[in-house]
Amino acid sequence: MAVLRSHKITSFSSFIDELKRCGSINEAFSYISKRVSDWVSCITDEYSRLRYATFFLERCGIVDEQLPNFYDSNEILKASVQEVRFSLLARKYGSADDPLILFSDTPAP
Amino acid sequence: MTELASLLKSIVKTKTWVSPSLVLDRLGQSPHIDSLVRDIVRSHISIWDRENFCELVLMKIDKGIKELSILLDILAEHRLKILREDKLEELLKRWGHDHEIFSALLRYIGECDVKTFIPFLERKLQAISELPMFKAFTILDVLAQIGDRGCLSILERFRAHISRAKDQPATTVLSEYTELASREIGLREVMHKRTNKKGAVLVQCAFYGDIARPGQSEGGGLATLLTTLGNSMARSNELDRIYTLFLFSLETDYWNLRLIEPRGDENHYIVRIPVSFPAHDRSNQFMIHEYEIMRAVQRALEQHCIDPDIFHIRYSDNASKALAILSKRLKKKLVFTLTSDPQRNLSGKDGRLLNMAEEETLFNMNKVYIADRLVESADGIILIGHERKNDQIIPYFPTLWIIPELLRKPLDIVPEGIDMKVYLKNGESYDKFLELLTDHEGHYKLENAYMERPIILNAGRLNRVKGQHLLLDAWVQSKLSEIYNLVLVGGNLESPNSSEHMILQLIDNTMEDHPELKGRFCLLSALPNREIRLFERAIMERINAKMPNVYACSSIKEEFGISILEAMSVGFLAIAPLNGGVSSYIEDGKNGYLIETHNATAIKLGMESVLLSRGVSSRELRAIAKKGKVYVSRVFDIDKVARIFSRFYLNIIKVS
Repeated sequence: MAVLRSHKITSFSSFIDELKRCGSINEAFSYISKRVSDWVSCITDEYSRLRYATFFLERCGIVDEQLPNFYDSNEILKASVQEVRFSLLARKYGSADDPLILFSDTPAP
Repeated sequence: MTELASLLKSIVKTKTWVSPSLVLDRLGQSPHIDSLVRDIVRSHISIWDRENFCELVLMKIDKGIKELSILLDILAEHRLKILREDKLEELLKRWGHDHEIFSALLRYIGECDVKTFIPFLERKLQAISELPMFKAFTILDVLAQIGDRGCLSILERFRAHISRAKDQPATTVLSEYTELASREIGLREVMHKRTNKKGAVLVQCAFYGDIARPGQSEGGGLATLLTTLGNSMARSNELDRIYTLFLFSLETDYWNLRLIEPRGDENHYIVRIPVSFPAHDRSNQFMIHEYEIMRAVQRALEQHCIDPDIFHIRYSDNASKALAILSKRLKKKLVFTLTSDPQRNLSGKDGRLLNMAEEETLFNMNKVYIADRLVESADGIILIGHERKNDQIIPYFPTLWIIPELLRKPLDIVPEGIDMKVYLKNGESYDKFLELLTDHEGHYKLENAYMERPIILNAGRLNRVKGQHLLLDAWVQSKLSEIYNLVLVGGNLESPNSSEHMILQLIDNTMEDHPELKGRFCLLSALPNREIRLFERAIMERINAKMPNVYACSSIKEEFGISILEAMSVGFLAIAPLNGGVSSYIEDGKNGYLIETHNATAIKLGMESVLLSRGVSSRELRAIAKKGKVYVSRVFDIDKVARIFSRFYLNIIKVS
């Protein structure tokens, strides 16, 4: 087995449980971003932190109708968190029509 | 646009329901969005009402929208034969002049097996003098796909016609393609076109550059690596056949190349895949022509009777995505070499996320998205590294070690490698190679009076990212120009493309300001890999000054740097970029040096700190170069690397 897979993650299930107690995607993302380096030892830079943060965010299952308000400044951050938020919304509602209509030039059918 | 792209990616990822009309309405906004729409169609077509979907596509085609070629490709890819013949005729008449739409219409005719258009194709072939080259290839391809024995006579007449036009540049390759078309039709009728396979067959993709033109286009290093690797795997006989695929642009490519040719060993073949798009700006072209690539590769496999067991893809781009989709459709195994490009370049030197404009963000996030998808769909994953170490992937790919299904996938960490067995042939001599420095067609050459001086060498395609102009600036500004000659090898100096032209202009400007350095600077056109290797050996054999000969890689970053390894293997002292993957094999100050390369001043200071430092003697520098040589020979011998790859492939086939 390759060396890279010997990284250790500290009690994966317990911090997913902690995350689930967050009230909003905003809160969850802030919480993960602050703590993720304690959980995972291999984070090297902000994009690496973002990759792990969005990975855990997607698994915490918090669906938030509100757009998170903390990421207007950076396009990479915005694109990454939006993708997770849309995935969570899509899974909850079983359809992506509503958000896609928002991008439509014509009225909904 | 980034928000819409994020939404579309989430739809692909979660396979959530979405109405086809809403998806198709998004076409035409940007190539990124179009590519994601095609992905949604692939993932959703089995759950959509097919009739309703086809009606929607027809309505859009009737409206004559600008994204017509994408809609036609969707129909062709999913073999939805819904266009009536009169409609097809109307479209061909209306759009026959449009390169993209004409090609897409013909792909539709081929994939949907619209045999009633065979006479149309035959008529087009008869009017050869009016046919642009890309159209001739497209027509031959589709005729071979749907034609019957009745078409053989027209193909024969066509071949006789082009063989008479010997002055035409494309005669050889067009004649070869016509012969392939005839063979495909002939073999289809007798039903025994498969070759006798004795073992595993590998298809590896080198979609940047071509081995016939090293140092002249994108990805010369990859072309060299895969050709050398293919030769070595073929020699070892662990695999039955190896096919290395290159793209052959019908717009700009060299017509004297063959579409299929044995390389090194009869079990290794180079296969060139004809495509309609130009050879420059490949990442973007791959995104726009993703389906064309997928189909062109499948057609080439059919034409050459290649039945692969494994596809190996190496870049996180849309061409790799196309091959991944094809491999799944053909039920073949897929191996993906995963790198952290662009992930590790999305944060700055201070570790903070880079601020990017929307277009750049879309470009990079597309690569991130593709890498994630390929990690999921691959049957085996290769990381680049040696001694089974790679610390550049895990920081960006949590799924790879946390998700159990991915954790179970075969994974290996393999070094890149170089051929250590490059020797002079009978009649060749090092002196002849050394003469290139003083006697060649170009403008800048060394004068005999300076031939005793040591050399700073740089080889690679002439491009801004390779930084040859910065290296020249660094050299002229430094005292190094009093000690060292500078030799640059790369680019097509006779007929430069736009990026080569720009670098040549910068070189001319610098040299105009420094006429005193004439005779100490040499610029050579790109050389085939074997020749550059022998040229390097010649320098090491014949130029023995007090200071060591240096290979200076001035790239802003270098993912791996095959050319650095090649120079180290014959004893050059390597000075290479700190940025990128070179640090995985050069230990600064131990077997080479790592320097900042973001501008000329950084390169100058970096090189001076190595070569003009009072702390390190020339003897110590030679010792460091020797350590580099020994290390490269021990670790990066292509034959050792080839054995690791062959066993990895065989293991994946065995597991299946």
